[in-house]
Amino acid sequence: MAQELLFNVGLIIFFIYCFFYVGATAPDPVQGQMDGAQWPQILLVLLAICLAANIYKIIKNGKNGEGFKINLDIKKIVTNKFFKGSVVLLIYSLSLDYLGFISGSILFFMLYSRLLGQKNIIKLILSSVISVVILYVLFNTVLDIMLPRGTGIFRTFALFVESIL
Amino acid sequence: MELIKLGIDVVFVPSTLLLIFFGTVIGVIFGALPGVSASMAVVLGLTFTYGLDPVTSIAFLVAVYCSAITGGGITAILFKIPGTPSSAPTTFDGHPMAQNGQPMKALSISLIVSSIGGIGAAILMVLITPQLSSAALKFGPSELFAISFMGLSVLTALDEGNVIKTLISGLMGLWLATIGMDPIEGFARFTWGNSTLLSGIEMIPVMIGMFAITEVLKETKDRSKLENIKEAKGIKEKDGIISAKELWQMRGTITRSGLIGTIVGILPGAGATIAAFLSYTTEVKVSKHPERYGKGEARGIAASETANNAATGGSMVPLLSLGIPGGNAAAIMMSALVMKGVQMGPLLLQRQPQYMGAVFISMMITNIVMVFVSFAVAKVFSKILSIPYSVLGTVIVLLACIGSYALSSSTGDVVLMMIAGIFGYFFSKYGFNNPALILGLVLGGMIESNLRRAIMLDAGNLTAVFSKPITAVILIVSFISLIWPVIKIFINKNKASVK
Repeated sequence: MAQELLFNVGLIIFFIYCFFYVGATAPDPVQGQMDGAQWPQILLVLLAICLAANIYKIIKNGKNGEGFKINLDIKKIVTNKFFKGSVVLLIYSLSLDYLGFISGSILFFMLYSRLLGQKNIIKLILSSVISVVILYVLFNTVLDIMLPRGTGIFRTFALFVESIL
Repeated sequence: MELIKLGIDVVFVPSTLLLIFFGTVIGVIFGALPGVSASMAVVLGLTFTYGLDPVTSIAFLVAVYCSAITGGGITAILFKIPGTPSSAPTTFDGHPMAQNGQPMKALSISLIVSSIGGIGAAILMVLITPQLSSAALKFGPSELFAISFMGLSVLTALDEGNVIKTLISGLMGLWLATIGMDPIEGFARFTWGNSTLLSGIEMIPVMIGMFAITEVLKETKDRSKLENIKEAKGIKEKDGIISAKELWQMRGTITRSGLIGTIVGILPGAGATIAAFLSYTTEVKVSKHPERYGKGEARGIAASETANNAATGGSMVPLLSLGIPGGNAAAIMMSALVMKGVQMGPLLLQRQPQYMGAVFISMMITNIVMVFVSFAVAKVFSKILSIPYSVLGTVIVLLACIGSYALSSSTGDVVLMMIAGIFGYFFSKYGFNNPALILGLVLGGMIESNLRRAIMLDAGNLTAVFSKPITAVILIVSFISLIWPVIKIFINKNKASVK
């Protein structure tokens, strides 16, 4: 309940800021036109009203029931599978340019598959290499969709794999 | 009739029929692959047409285009990754049905109604091309604004128990669509100096992120053992192809969605995505059991898939008779056919009627062949569901990455997709509605640009904009349909308090 309240309060503060931000960055309005800031401002006002109504509803429900306790257990958050999964996904997407699709995806596959419960190392390695190679051949070779090759040693590795395939 | 005869004469040649079959196979496979949209499928198919004559090129490209839209529904149902944006509403009911242990039933509904929608639209295309083309030309910005707004009228019905949160989700989608360069005045909105944001928030990565990645994250958090979807849910419902009786029971849905799809397809700038959302909306509205939608309702799949395929026929109307492409894929087809010497526009019917006939007959054949080809492809894809989730979940993430990356060969889109997926997780965790956000994002650009152009054309006179007959009628209907679920809640509350 407290987390949901914080999420909603965060959103309303952000949208109020956006309302003033777009107004400050837009050019002067032209007579007989809806200028570029007005449409988002209309949406932001409606958003703020709806979020305020939602916050009121959360507070009302909180008073009647669970209350608002914030349990900030860092250890529990960090060891949570969702948190680990999100971190792996973000690191993978951010490192694609450097590691390239082949190296990055094989590493990602092993990590994420492990997170999803696969403990057998041989199966992990085999499934990751086979899946990544199949996808690479299908998209890069057959459909001609160029996938990232990475930089440095990873690029050399990708080019080597391409020469084999 | 003359047109049909001409079409049969030029298309019923063994080599053309073989190419239609080949086009259907690659179209279904391309459409089923995330990241290969219908437009991309047509582009990839173009390379095969360089050595072909115009009629065979038309037949082949029409086959690729129509079957790619159908193929998009396969991954939408099995993995919750819409293969094409127009299959996004198919995920709402198709994926839950597959999760309930009925992937083949969901796929058979999708494929059969797609075919019916496509054939129906092809017939309508021939019958009403001249009349509807002139009617569509009368649609100005204000009418197009009203049509797009009508698509939004589903918002409050998407989750009637959470109207405020659903509205917030839809409004957030509309706001996200405003990020980037202003379409009329050309200044940067909500970019905070970031050049990547200048081109706006790409719809496909957000869509893939909020559907596929959010789903994988949910499974990551809740799943501790190696198991597939069916075992995880502990449901063993009878699976199989939809029966003729069940299909007959959906005749109303198929007819309505086919008509909506064809009409929306004809409107310039609209297209299969809006058609699919709009007909899904309509079905939720007219249903006696709207609460079943989003949980594996067969009519939900039928509405979306009939409409997006019917829109392919509809989009051919302005393309052939006026030379106006209804969408990206139609624009690519147009450039390819013009290259072959086909005269798109009003003169086509007078000077090259055989090409018009070829399109019609090719669409008919494709939509029939497509059912068999798609079943074969879907059967292979449905086997994938029995792969352990530790592999399947990770492959889904990789497919989602390729799908986002292939859009513009940018890893920025992959990062955007991941962020959308993580945000989508929290969003749904706190009761907000991911499909509503996507709906807002899809319709946002069209609503804003048409509203602003309409206001500009009427020199800022809002009364003039909203009092045009077609606009006014559509807006009133949309507004009533938007607020009806809210009114219904108050009526039910009053009834309960009286009791």
